[in-house]
Amino acid sequence: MTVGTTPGIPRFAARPPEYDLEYPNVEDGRDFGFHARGRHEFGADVVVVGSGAGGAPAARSLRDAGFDVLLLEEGGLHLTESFRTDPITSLQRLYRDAGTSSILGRPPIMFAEGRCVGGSTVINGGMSWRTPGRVLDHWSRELRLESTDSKSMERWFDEAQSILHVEHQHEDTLGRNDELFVAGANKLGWKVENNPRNMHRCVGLNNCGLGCPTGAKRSMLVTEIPRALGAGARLLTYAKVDRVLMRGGRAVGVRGHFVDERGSSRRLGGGRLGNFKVRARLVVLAAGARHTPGILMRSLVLGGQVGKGLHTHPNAKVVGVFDERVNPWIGAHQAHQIHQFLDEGILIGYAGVPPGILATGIPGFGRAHAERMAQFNHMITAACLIEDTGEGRVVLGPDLQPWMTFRLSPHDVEAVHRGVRLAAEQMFAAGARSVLLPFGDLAEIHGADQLGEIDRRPRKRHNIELMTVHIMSSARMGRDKSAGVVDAWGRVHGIDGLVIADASIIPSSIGVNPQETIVALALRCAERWAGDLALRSAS
Amino acid sequence: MLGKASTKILMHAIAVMRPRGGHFDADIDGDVARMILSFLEYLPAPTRLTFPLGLRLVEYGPFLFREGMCRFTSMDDETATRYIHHWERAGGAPAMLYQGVRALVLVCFYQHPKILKAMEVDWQGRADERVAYRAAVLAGNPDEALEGAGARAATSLDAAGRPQVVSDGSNGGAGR
Repeated sequence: MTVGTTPGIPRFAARPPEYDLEYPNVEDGRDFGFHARGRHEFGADVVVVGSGAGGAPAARSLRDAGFDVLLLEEGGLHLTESFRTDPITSLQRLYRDAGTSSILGRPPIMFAEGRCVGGSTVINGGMSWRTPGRVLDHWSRELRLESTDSKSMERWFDEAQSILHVEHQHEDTLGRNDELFVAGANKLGWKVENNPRNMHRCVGLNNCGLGCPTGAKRSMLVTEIPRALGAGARLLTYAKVDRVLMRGGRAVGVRGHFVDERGSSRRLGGGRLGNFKVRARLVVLAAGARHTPGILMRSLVLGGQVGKGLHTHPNAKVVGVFDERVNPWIGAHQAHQIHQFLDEGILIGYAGVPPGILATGIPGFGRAHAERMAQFNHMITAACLIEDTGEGRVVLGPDLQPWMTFRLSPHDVEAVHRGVRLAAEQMFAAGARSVLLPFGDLAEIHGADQLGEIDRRPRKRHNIELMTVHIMSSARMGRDKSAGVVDAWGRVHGIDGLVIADASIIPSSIGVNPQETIVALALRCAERWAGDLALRSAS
Repeated sequence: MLGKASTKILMHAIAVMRPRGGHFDADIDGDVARMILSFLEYLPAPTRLTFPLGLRLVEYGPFLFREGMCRFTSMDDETATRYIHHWERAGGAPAMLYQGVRALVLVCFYQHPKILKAMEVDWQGRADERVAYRAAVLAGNPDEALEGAGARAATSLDAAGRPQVVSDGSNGGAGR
């Protein structure tokens, strides 16, 4: 099947070039019915599980190296022109569990990830930061991971930035929310970072989190996926992998089942979808830091560090309410960030959040809630992201799906309070008349003179509202099995033919948006895997 | 996917929790319920399967919070509001259920086209304009192409700071 356009979507006089991308060699898993006595069978040199920031570049790179590559994706292929600003529709189509996942703990942390071709790159904010040098130093010197120092990684970051087409925001796309965010920082004497973003002439729609209908965001959907498919790789959508197939200590493929758009193997109208099996010489897991360890555990790759060491990079929202009209839905998504406090593990940014989504983070209901939300056009949603020091786990739940747990360390709790105070200070400096906070027992303050209340707040965890889109390190790199699940090249310790290419292999919390790190690591590892495969063929 | 009794409880929860006052007093409870029901299909199986049970707990739970031996659906607005606040403050599973129902109601309420229009938020109208604008910029002639597409510059604001592109707030008929 070749997919190029979507019927029913209005055409404009001029169409973005991304609307005309072609996606050859795609099969829709929903077309495979259930067979009581067997599975649909496929074969390839390499099977890649997941099509996001890790899976897509790995697939393209291995295809370019001459291998027959089959890419499996649990979600569907949703084209650029089908993206809408309505979160109800978009959450259902593009997000796992319609965006309602959470990490269990005190407090629970809301978590969202993509479930579509392109993975979370389709729904992320498009920030493209290299892994900070101090983090790479930690990997190479203290964790003694081969070739992870800044100099060795530079080539891979360069290549990742070329794929992602990293550029800064055009001035004509900045909204009033950005101007005020920058003004507040300037007033406080903070350095403002011009955010490098993966985009090609962004026009400031501020819809990154629900898919970019303008085509500007360089997600995997418009970069590595069409390149890989054009080069001959194959893509099977709505295919959920259950486990890795093993024989004699080596991986020989995967098996799983087809799902519908809800993620269910039972069709809404009745009837079941089929099961599948893929035979391959190399299995690349790139299902994300939650599901990759889940697949390992279901495959009885247990013990050691599997599922341990989860980092969540949690963020807390701080909403500034201004007298002037801000129109937060007009302008770019996070053109600037504050990195002044990165050494303390704190990053400050802002985002345009749809009213329905922002509403869930504003306390109460009924009339009181309406009074606050009536100010929506006067709000800026800022957030502080915390480089967490606590560690969580991924475990298999009773439904055999991966569940996540995480507990903020005392240091993290302090960092959240410090970050919230800083972001609130910035909002007041920008002219906010009040600031909504992420604390159940301190929901709002009305002036900079009340910032001290954040410092004095008892450090209770349970009523802090946190969310994340940056989980990592649940199958991390380590020199041996006692230190990590994979080696410095993403190869699972003790199992031939099984490798990992997603955020789960990142060895420690990196403190910045992880997309570029994931792409760079995947490219770096894929080159090594291609060499391994070629050697094995020769022998 | 919800039975008649569960739907009745959900409808009462919507009536109690939905924002009200001023331009939020729109008669859209039925639409909100339909949007929530469509959303439930996409939730993870454990949540989806236990949701009706949670609604029953809300229905028969007033005595747990000393609200007497009555049902939630028979409560007047004031009593029901007080009762829901009990769930909010209870912590643990009851608070999680409260948060879940509240989130569904609020997302579906505030994203309703009538409410978006009342709030003067026309994100989709701006999206249509931005798509055409970017295509035109890349084609090298933004002004002409914008005119051809019938789009306008969304960033122009009136004296009160209101954007000058306001459509009917629909999503173009796609996706639902």
